[in-house]
Amino acid sequence: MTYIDNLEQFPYPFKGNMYRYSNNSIPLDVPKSVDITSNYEEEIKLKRQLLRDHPKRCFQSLSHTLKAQWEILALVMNHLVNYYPDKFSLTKTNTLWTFRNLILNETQQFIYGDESTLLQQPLDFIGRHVQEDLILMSERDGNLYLDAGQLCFPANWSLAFDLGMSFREIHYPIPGFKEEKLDDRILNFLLRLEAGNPWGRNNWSLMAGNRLDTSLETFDDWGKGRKQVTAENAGDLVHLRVEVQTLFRLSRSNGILFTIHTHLLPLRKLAEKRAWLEQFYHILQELPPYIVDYKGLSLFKDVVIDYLKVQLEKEDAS
Amino acid sequence: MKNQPIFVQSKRKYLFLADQKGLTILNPIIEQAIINNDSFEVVFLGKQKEFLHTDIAHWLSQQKMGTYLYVCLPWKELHPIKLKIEEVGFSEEEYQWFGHGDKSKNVFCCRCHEITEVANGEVEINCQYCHLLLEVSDHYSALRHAYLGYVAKL
Ligand code: HEM
Ligand SMILES: [Zn+2]
Repeated sequence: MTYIDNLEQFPYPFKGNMYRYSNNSIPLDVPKSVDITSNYEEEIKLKRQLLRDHPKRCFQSLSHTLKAQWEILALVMNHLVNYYPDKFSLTKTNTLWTFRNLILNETQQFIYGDESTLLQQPLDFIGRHVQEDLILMSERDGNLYLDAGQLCFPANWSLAFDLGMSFREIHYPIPGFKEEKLDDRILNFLLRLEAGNPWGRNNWSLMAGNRLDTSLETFDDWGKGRKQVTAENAGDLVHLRVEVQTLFRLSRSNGILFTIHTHLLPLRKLAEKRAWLEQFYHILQELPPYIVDYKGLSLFKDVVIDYLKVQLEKEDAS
Repeated sequence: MKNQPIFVQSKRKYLFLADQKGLTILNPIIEQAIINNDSFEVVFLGKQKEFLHTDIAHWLSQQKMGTYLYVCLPWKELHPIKLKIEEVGFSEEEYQWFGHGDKSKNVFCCRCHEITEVANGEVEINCQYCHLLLEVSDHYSALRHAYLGYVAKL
């Protein structure tokens, strides 16, 4: 996978020299669920291949979610045409909608609300036009449930396993989440989310390799990269992986759309920015063992710290 | 857990959640509630399990304070139900639980999504279908009725 050449475009996630789990959500400046980057065509191609070859891994939905799925399709299409009018268009004649993707030169006509007029379920259809993974959380009895999703680029989790789970159940594997009542606090925050006031947050990890499709299903394969990191190859092999996530309340179904846009940056590139290099070096050094372990960094964190240190010293010398 | 269900007097209402076998074990308590003319509700868990956990959460969340709950299920189904019960807000003082039968559990293979049944307490197992060595976790899916098995060795 290629990475963003322009460092200014990379969603560098850190503030301060320390990282802990917290509710780091903030209101979005621009109420936009999707972003088109220079990798668009390459990533859409990969997404569609994964959906074709591993449909159960990449798309799951419970049968009662179709209404909410249509709502997501409408919301995402509106964002695409409003924010990228030169790349997408949408015309509506009563319930007959015509959606054009001008980047890929594709046109789709369908009757809004009628699944038989699309080849895929609505969420699966619109997900094939955006770089984001798209998750629907439904609200019932004061709780949120993962009832549908299209997920091609997961950071080591399984949509097929998580389907139908509550917010707390999904986050069960994260150390300290329950003990510190973070799950309750974040859930309560999400239940108060209002239509028209979307929020966003970033999550990060380090990847040994440059794959976007780091599913739990293929971990036995890509996870091996963690054992191959050396001081010599760290700059090119190891990537900072950042997920830009947004949260939109769906006004009609009262569900929540959760979007995840994954970005990769090799450490060699990160090291070009002195401020980032220094800050990330401190953060990794200070990172508590439970987070190191959960993020899967135990095998190569020390090598990465050494690499960053050498880069810092190189710059100091020159 | 206690070995025998014990009747707790003077509750506003009694709830019983059990399968066939579980009901026979809870029967003395149910009879006691009948003799006392207490109000009670029995929810029978049969074979059909789709969405069951969400329904149970809903049922429990509708109950008023002062309600007392008895649960008796196969060991395999007990842990996830307890998670639900506690998520809804029942405390240790508000319910009694009992397991019966074999102590086994289902493990969901992270690679091929198939389920392997194993004895409780197993830490590493081979997936019955793709033979991947799995580390059994306590991450549970009610929909799959299974615990997640992670890659045990890279
Ligand atoms: C509402 C939709 C959300 C979904 C579907 C979701 C899903 C997930 C999943 C599947 C994981 C990986 C768990 C595993 O190891 O199996 C995860 C991790 C995590 N989530 Fe969420 N999440 C959501 C919202 C949030 C929000 C709003 C926050 C915080 C404000 C949050 C904080 C975290 C954190 C801190 C981690 C650990 C990440 C790491 O260390 O790399 N999540 N989430
Ligand atoms: Zn398997």
